Amino acid sequence: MHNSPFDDADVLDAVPGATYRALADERRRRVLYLLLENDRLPVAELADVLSAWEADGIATPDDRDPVAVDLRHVHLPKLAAAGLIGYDDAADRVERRDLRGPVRQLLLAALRYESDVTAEESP
Amino acid sequence: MSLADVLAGVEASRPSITIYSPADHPDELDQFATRARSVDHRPLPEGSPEGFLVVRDADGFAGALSLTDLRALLARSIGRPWDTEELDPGYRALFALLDDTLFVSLERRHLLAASREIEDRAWRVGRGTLRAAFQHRRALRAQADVYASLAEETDLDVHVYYDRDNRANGGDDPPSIPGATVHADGGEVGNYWVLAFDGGDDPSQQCALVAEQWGADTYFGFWTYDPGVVADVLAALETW
Repeated sequence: MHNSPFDDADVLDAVPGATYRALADERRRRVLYLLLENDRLPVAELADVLSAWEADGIATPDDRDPVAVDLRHVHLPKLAAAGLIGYDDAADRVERRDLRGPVRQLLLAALRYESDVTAEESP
Repeated sequence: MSLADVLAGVEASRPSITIYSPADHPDELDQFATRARSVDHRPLPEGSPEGFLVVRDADGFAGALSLTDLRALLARSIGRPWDTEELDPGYRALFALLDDTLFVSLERRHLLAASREIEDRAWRVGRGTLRAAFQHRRALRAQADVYASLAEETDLDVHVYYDRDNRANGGDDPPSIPGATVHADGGEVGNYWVLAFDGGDDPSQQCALVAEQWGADTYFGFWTYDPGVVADVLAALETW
C-alpha cells in the first residue's frame, strides 16, 4: 500500500466528493494538468497529447482517435459538470477554470505523486 | 506545372511538429528545422513526463513519439532514425513523414552544398539529363568549368538556363560552356535557383533543388530525392 501523498488532511476534507470522482480517472487528471499550462486547448489537440502521453513508444492515429471519442463523450462532460473545466462542445474546445485552492493543491500533489511513481517504476 | 507551383506544393505537404515538454527549449526543436513546415514548443507542467513530439500533416494527427525514444533512436542511428531498417513499422511510418527525401532551408550555404551534391551525383552517374538554372551571371561563371566538364567528359545531356535580362545580369551574354546547351532567354528562370538531375538509367539517383531569392542574401528553397517532385521540376525547366 502506498502512503498518502497528502500531508495535510484538511485539503482532503475541503474537496467535494464529486471532485474526487472527477479526478479518479487518469485521462481526466491529465486534461487538468495540461490546462495548468494552457488557458484553452482544442479537443483535437488534447487527444493528440493524451494519446502521446499514454503511448509506450509511439502513438498512431489508430491510438489517438478513440481517445478523442472518449474525451468528447465521457471525460470532458464529467469535468465540466464538476466545474473543473469549461467545455464548449460547439467550438470543440476546453478552457481553464480558476480552480479553488484545495482542488488545485490536490491536483498538483497528484501530479507530483504520479511522476514519483513513474520514476520508481523506471529501470 | 510552374516552379512556383512546385514550391507551393512542397510547402503545403510538409508536416508540422510540436514538442510538448516541461523544458523551456528542448534540443530536439532544432533537429527538425529543415524537415518540418513549423516546429513549435508547448509547455507541460513541471512534474509531467519528459515530453513527446507530435507530428501533424494536412489530415491532422499523424503520430507521436516520446522524447526518450526519439533520443535513443537519434543516438543509435547518428541523427537519422529514418535510416534504421530494423525499426518497428510504426516508427518507420512516423519517420517516413520526416524522411530525408525532402529538405527545406533558408540558408544559402545549405543550398550551395546541396547544389554541389547534385552536380557530383550527376558526374558519378555520368548519364542522363542535368538541368541547372542560374540567377546570376557571376554564379554561372563560377561554375562554368564544372559544367563544361560535366558536358564534355561524361555522357550527360547538360542544359544551363540563364536570364540575360535579369537586372543583375544587365543584358550580358552567358559565359561559354562547351558541350552544354545554354538557354539565355528569361521567363520564370530569372527568379529561381534550380538544379535537376533525372538519374540517367538509375531512378534512385534522381534529385532536384529549387530555391527562390527573398532578399539580398536570403532564400527559401528545398532539395529532394522524391521522384515525383524531381519530375515536376524537370518538366517545368523543359518548357523554357
